[in-house]
Amino acid sequence: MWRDVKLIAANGLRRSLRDRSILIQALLAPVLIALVVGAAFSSGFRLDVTIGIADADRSAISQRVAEGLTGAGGNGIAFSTLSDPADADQVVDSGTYDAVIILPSGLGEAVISGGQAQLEVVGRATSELAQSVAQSVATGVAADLQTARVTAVAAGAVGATDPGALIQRAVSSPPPITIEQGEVQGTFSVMAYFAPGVAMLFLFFIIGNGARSIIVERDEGTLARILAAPVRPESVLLGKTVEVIVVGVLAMTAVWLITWLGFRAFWGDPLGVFLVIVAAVVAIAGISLLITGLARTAAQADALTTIVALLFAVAGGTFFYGATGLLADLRQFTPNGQALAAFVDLSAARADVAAVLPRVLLLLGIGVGTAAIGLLALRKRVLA
Amino acid sequence: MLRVSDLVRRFGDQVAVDGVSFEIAQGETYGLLGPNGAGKTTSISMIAGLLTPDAGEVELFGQPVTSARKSLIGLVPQDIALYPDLSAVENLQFFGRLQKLGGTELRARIDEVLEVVGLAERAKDRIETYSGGMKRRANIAVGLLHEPKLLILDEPTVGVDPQSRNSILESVAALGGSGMAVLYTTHYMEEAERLCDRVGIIDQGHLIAEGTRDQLVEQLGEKTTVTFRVNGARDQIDAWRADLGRLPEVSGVKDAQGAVAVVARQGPALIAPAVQAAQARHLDVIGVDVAEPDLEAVFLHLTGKALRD
Amino acid sequence: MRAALATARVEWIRFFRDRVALFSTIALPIVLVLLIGLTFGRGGAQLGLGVLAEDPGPLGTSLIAELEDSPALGVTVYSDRGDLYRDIRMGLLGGGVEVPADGQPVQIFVQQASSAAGVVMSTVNAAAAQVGTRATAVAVLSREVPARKAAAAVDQALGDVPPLGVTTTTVGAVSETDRNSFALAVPSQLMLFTFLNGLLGAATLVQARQLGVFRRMLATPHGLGVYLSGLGLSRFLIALLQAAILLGIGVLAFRVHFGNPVAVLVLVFVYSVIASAAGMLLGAVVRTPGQAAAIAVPTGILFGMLGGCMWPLSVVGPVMRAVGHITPQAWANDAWNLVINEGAGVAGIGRQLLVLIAFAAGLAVLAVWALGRQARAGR
Repeated sequence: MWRDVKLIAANGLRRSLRDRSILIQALLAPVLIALVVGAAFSSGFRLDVTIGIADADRSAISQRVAEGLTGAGGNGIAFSTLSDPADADQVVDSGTYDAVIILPSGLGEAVISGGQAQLEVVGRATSELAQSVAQSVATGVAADLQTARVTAVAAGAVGATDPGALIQRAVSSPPPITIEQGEVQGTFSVMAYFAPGVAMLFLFFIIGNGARSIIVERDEGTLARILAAPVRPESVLLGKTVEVIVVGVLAMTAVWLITWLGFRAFWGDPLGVFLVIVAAVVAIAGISLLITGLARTAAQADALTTIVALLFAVAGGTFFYGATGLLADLRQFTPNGQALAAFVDLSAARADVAAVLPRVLLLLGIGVGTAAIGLLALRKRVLA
Repeated sequence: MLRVSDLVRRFGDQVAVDGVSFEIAQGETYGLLGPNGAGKTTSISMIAGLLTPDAGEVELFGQPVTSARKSLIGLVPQDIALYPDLSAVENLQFFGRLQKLGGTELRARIDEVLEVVGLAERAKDRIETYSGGMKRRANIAVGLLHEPKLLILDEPTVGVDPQSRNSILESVAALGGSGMAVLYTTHYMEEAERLCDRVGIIDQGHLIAEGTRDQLVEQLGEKTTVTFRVNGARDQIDAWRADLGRLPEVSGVKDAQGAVAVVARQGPALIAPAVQAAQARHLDVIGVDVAEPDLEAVFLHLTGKALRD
Repeated sequence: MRAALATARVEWIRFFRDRVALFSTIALPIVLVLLIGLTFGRGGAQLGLGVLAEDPGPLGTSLIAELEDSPALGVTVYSDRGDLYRDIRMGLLGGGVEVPADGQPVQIFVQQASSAAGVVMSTVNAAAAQVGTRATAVAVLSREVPARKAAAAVDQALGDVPPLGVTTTTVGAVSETDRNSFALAVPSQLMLFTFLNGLLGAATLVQARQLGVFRRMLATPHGLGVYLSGLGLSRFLIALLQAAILLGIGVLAFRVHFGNPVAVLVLVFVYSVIASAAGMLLGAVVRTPGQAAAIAVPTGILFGMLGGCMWPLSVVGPVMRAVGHITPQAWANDAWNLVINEGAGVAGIGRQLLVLIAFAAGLAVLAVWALGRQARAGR
């Protein structure tokens, strides 16, 4: 029996390797698409914001604030002084500045007396992030000044001998929460997301094609010829199953090795990656066998495969890198979404094999379950 | 060597094969003759183990056809059951290995059968590049590969040009002569007459007659087939056909491709009254053909219809 | 002409009988427009911040509350460090912040060499300053008076002193695509699927070639050209129908203002010609319908990605933007942007239209040439 299974699988494999359509879908398409995405997003997030500081107060306090800010730029945020606060709207609108923070006249007085004052931020509708950054910066300034104001008023209330020194100390003392900056080590290439995602989309087509060949071979007579030989029908079904799984694993492993070794997209722990590849292929093979088993004709199986593949691709996040909400929830219900989550855990979270094992088992379970139903349905048809 | 008894197979409400029984001896070429849809392919599929019979038995050398004993049979399906994207050699390798052949034996057999069907020169070309006749011959080659005791050929000449057809018939005749038993289905009477030692006539799932060509023709007695070609009004021709049916000793009247065929004892004696009847209906008789009894006539006699409807 | 229309009619009927074609040309783009429009609707301008806080003290809790109020960062709470690092590495988050028990330093982490650090740093600093007002004032005052007295005075002052606020004014108008995410989703999906569907039309052509329709048509008095123009016409009409449905949904269901209707019409028209001509060209060069589909889907996706249908070309670097303009999609996207956001009319998108017309003409000429060659070769 195993000899027949191997013969039938090998024959299918030989025919697949000759089929140029399969090579295009299995290798060329995922690699090319991943390369384009990789090239588009190679530079990562870039911020380049210029914030103008306009001092309308010109008091000692406001001048110190302005000086403090203009020296504090970096990391994509630049501060520079704007001489005339009345120009703020115009320079923001024209794009000279992405946002302006105005220190209003009377600010210094308000700090000492505890009176009303408002910092002003001018932003541009088309540059929302710059406006938000300016708001954050202004809020920080306001909070520092507020500390000084509260200290001043409280110092007066307790009759402190030198309120000025206390205010000075309040402004210069570090906040009670200390902040340290660290880095997340290790990089991630978007190719490690899109290559497996797109590869799985096309695997639905390739594996669906392989599963459907059971019906096609019945219609074209080669199945009858195989069964006229001393071969059990189970061997034929198993042979086809082995064939599509081998084709799928070979194709996806090739995509992995090409993007990893050729284009330095790190997919994570190799053993884990291989396990997820196998599990994903088994799940897709199972679903394809189920579709083939349920379809009445080869054309119907083809149509169902196309629809299922595209729906799973959309719902599974093949084209939506890092979506939230509805899309993120939908992913959990698709085999390719589950596999993609496992791939991302391996590549971006540097997870180990144990961490992706639950998803691997889930995918294998989906594959075995659907394959069982599909093969039973096909068994009835293969030997009428 | 092959005994088929009381085979029955239904598809839903339809009874495709209804109690078919026959035997084939070693070295014998047996023809299963009948029109399309008579139940020939269904019978063959049950003999080859592709379909489970609803009732009845198939025995090969006195034992049922189990999976392992399928190697005794070589099936040549009606379709070109080959992988078009593989070469003839690759197809033969695959199906040969499924028949448990391998190594040098398989290689030798492949060369042999390719020689038999005359495809040795194109052996390495893909099947999809072959002509219709070449595909048919490659299809037969696979059936012969494992040297079966019984070769089943299901309508091997359908859709083939006359030249290839002749070459196929010659090959089959040679195989029959080599001691292999052959089960040959066809709806071409000439093929059955030319190739087969014995013929079973099948119609609507029933085997309605069986025997050598001569035995079958004898059933007709001295009957001959007279074919008339006439010109005239359609309704008059129909009426004239009814007239013919009433003539003495006529056992069948049938439209045959624009002509009217009559099976009767003493055919030549029929000509004069038939022509008179035609003239009475203002029909011009433009041709008369008297044929010796053949299987076509037997079929017409038994079923009242032509083989090729 | 009548013969061409008859061919178009047959193809049109065949299309509506083909459930897969209906699904992939009509249903799927609608589903995608909905998903994309609804998912990427809000919070596009915010940078994500992941917060890891296992057991924060009162100060830490206030800090997290302040961060959640900040306009620049969208806060997501994580319970697993691996997940947080994953999303930072993937760039889904601008950075992360770990808030430990009070007294221990708060850790900010960003990806190596990411310029998100500036935003994260300034925002967390601002939040810390807000949270620290009381604690700092009490600490400073405690040097002069007993701690309890200092605390009472500070709390009194906090009640008396009005907060120093920040007011914001925004200049300029929000663009239509920023205001309504469907204004971006509809044209981009429209272009993606019109083109994909046009390419998939190649399968029909290959089938016809295989069935010998070409040879039969060459033998009729109308010739092959009539048949091909009929086929092209039907694909073109299907593309128009697809556009009408998607634009209709955009206007009626999602209140998108697409701008100058004449410009939209001309743009859709020219783009549909490009899509059908591309399909005819593909149909001329591949051998089997299976091959046509195998090439059409990846090509459609690739062109969509390069041309800005999957993400706006404004987010990619200058090189990829330039490379993208080898596709008609990029030029059409530029034109859509001008029409929707800048209120451009036909004249305003003249340059883009000229390039698109050149694409259409070039593809049509190539397709006719290739099909003619096939027909003469008797295929």
